[in-house]
Amino acid sequence: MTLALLLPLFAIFSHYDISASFEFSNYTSSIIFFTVYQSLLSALLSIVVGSLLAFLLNTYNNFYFVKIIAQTQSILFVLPTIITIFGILSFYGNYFEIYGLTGILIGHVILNTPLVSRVIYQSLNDISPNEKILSRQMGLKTMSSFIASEWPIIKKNIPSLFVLITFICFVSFTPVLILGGGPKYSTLEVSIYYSVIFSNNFNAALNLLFFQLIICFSIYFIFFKNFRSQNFLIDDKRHIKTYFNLTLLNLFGLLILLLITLVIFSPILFIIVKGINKELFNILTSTYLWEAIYNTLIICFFSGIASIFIVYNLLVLTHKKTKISESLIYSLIIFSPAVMAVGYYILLFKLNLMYLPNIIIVIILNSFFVLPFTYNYLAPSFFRVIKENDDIANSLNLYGLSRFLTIDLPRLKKSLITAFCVSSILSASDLVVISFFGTNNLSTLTQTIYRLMGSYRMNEAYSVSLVLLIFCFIYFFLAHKILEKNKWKIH
Amino acid sequence: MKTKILSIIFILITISPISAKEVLVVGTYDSFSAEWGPGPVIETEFEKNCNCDVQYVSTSQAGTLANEIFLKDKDVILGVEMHEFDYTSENWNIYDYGYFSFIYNEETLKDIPNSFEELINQTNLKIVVQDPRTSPVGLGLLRWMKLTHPDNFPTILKKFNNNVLTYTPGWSEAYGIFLEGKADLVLSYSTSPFYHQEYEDEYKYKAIEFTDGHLATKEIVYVRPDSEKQKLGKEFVEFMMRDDIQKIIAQMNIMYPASENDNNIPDKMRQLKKPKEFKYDDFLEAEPLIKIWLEVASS
Repeated sequence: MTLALLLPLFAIFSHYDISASFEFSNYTSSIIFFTVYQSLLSALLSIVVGSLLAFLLNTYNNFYFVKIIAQTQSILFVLPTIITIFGILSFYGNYFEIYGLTGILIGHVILNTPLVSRVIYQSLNDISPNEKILSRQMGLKTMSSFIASEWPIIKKNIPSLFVLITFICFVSFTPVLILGGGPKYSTLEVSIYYSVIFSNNFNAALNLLFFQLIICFSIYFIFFKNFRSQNFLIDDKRHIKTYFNLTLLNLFGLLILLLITLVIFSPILFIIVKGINKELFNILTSTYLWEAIYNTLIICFFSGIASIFIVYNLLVLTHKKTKISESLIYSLIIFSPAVMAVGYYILLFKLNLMYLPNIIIVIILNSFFVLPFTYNYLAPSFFRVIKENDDIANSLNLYGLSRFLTIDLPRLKKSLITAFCVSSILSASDLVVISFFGTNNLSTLTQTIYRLMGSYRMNEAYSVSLVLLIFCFIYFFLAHKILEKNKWKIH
Repeated sequence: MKTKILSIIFILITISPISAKEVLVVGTYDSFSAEWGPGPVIETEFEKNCNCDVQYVSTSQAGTLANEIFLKDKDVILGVEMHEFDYTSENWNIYDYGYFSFIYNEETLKDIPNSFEELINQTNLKIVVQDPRTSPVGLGLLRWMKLTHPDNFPTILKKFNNNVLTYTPGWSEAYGIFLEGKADLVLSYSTSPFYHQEYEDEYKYKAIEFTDGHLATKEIVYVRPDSEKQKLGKEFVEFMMRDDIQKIIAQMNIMYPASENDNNIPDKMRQLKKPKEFKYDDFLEAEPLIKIWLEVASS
């Protein structure tokens, strides 16, 4: 893991010229300030909206459509950022002065809310029904019941999600460039990208990356200090019926739920409207689409498996020292994707590994890049399960794989499935790795969308985006169906 | 597990197909090599005579074609812009060219500016252009503006910047925003209307002609000096200039063919008005222009 992070950096460092001086311009310092400001604010807003959404989804999840929303919200990550941004421009461009800080914040909230909401929703699902029933028996009102049972869980998820989203917004590229409206609103990542790719100036890139790391680690340590105390119950018979009463409060809650959903899903509505056009049929009968679907499926599946495998082992190895594993995993986000990809590129050359089939390189790199997300989906449940099961496992003398299969797996199943699905489709949305290591015979749906856009074929690009959405929908649905069918016995 | 992975990797390496044919690796950008681009047809045509195997390795990251690191194992590079080319290769050709230009929709924009001055004075115009740090097209605009206005470039740029809706990472995003009707003008090429006419039968998109003249952009194909396949590479570079290939390039790459004649220029492209070319002597370096742009546009 550490090697995976450091090797590409070493590779880039081999092009580093120690003697060169570094000019720290006014522009760079203003960008640093703005980046910190923008990313903290984006994270805060995403967490507020995301927690609210998760709470509402959990409260009303005896409605079928609410369940569907809860399950499918992660699909939003997979849309290529640019398509999401087109959706945002179409929906909100006419009502807001969209270019500038407002646009960046709207964009980041729409992009990240589903992530927050999905993680918290998952955790809220873990609340023991006993606890809920207890709180109801005690006659607690909505607010006090919320403070007693939901809030502690939401609160526990906040620090890691806050760091994750701050980092994502910190290195945000396309949303900040387009919605920012000009170089006044930019991120360090844009400058790093420019230095690495355009001006071949590795020195500047590494210096900027160095600043990025210092700032992000400071943020990390400030917000992560008082984290970790997972001491609530877990119960597997989690089918609690929330009885829905037609009260004003409940109606209001549902209204808010629908409103947030509408805002968050607006890019999807945009794609459905735009994707059904006269090119759709041509697209569906073209060979390149089906090749892309096939490649995407392979990359998704194996990257998903690989990242689950890595995260699980990392959790097992380091769950007593979470700070280390967490800081390693989160740093994957802030090690600029451009630098990492170029670093790996140089590295593979030096090791003479460019003859490896590209699909393997793409899968391996993708599974690294999605680790922070896989981790966020898996870790909370993992910590709870491990903690609870430690005594049983020790008394039964079960260790390693046998312990995993007999004791932990049945209880982790849900989180594993979710983490697998999300990591998979995040690999599908990758553009950096595939554009560095993809070849003509190896293009994914996301890359096909960009290629089509790059040659005037906007309608085709929208149609392929729609196909990508449907692909992810089916992928999610099938993964859940297949994996949930295999009922494991709970010992 | 490690041994498993290693053994899988080993198997995959050993079973990779061994071809007796000479392989020519062509590094290019992916709208060229895409299924709907000119790449596949050119590959088939060239392979008919060469007893070789043309393999495209394409990038979608603009700018990488000028980045040494990505060029290492390629024999031929196709699509590097003339400003980014270092001219160390002996075998190179310009295979197509075009002019930077602003595109508008004639149904929605009636008052057409015909110079940078007129453009900046129409303060209600919403323009979408590319970020010069991430897009060669955006950089092209700075060169064009600086060349036509050597004395008051920063002033013009500052006023122009007030009309700019946003700077996008690449050409695709800017053109997409324009097609969505979110901007009045987009920076593109004077041949862009040809695509809509030829493939969509749509005539409402037009290129503006500036009286000052337009900056030409030319695309180069060359053999890498350290490639071992100089002869084959040279054949490929020369092949690109054949009349039928030039026609395919113009038709599918939406640019003017470099060795233009009546046989190789598509009809609808011939009917487009070719803008006046702005002639100049020295290429302008990118860094100083970007520095000025950053100062002007971020204040």
